[in-house]
Amino acid sequence: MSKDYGFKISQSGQDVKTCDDNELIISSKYKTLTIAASGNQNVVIPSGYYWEDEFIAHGLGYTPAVTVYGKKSTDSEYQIVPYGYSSFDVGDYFLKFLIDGTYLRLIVEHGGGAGANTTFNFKYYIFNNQIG
Amino acid sequence: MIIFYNKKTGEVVGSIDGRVHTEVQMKMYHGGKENSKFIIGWEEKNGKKIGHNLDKIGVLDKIENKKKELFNYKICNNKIKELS
Repeated sequence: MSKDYGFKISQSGQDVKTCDDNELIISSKYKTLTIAASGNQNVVIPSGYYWEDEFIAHGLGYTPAVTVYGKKSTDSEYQIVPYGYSSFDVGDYFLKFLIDGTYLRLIVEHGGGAGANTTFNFKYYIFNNQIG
Repeated sequence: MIIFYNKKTGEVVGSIDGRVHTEVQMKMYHGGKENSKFIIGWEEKNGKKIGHNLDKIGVLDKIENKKKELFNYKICNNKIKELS
C-alpha cells in the first residue's frame, strides 16, 4: 500500500489534518522558491555618464529566478527593480537588471548624463529555481 | 557574510548575506579583479565548516541588526574598520 507523504502547516485556528489547502501557510505539495544567495551591491554612476553597471558572477550554470530591489544611497526606502527614479535635484535615473546563466548585471541609467557621482544600493535575491 | 571590497581603496562594494556559506556562494563573485573578498563566518566544504575571521562576528551582529550599514566599513590590509 502506498502512503502519501510531505509536510504542511495550517493557519492559526485550522486543523492541519482536515483543513483545505487555502487554509494552509505552507505545503510541500506545491513548489516554492528557495534562495541560493542574497546580498548587496553598490553601483556608482559617475558624473556625466549615461549608464553604469556591476556584475555578480552567480556560478549556478543556468539562468535563475531573481528579485532585485534598489534605492539611491541617501534614501531610506527600497523599491523593486526595475524602476525609474525622479528628483528635482539629481534628474531622472532608471534602475534595471539582466540575468543569464553566468551573471546578474545591475544597471543604473541616466538619460541626460548623471549630474554628479551618484551611488545606488541594490539588494538581490537569487533563487535556486531555474527560468532558462 | 562575504564582503567584497575594492583592493585599492578598501571601500566595501557589496556582500553576500549569511553566516554559513554554501559552495555555490563561495564561488560567487561581485565585480572583477579590482575587488577582493573578506569572509566573516563559515564556509561549508566537503561536509565540514571552516571558520573565517570569527573574531569579527560582532560586525555581523551590527549589520544584521541594522545598527550599522555595511557600507560604513572599510577593509585595509585584510582588516575591517568601522568608518566614523
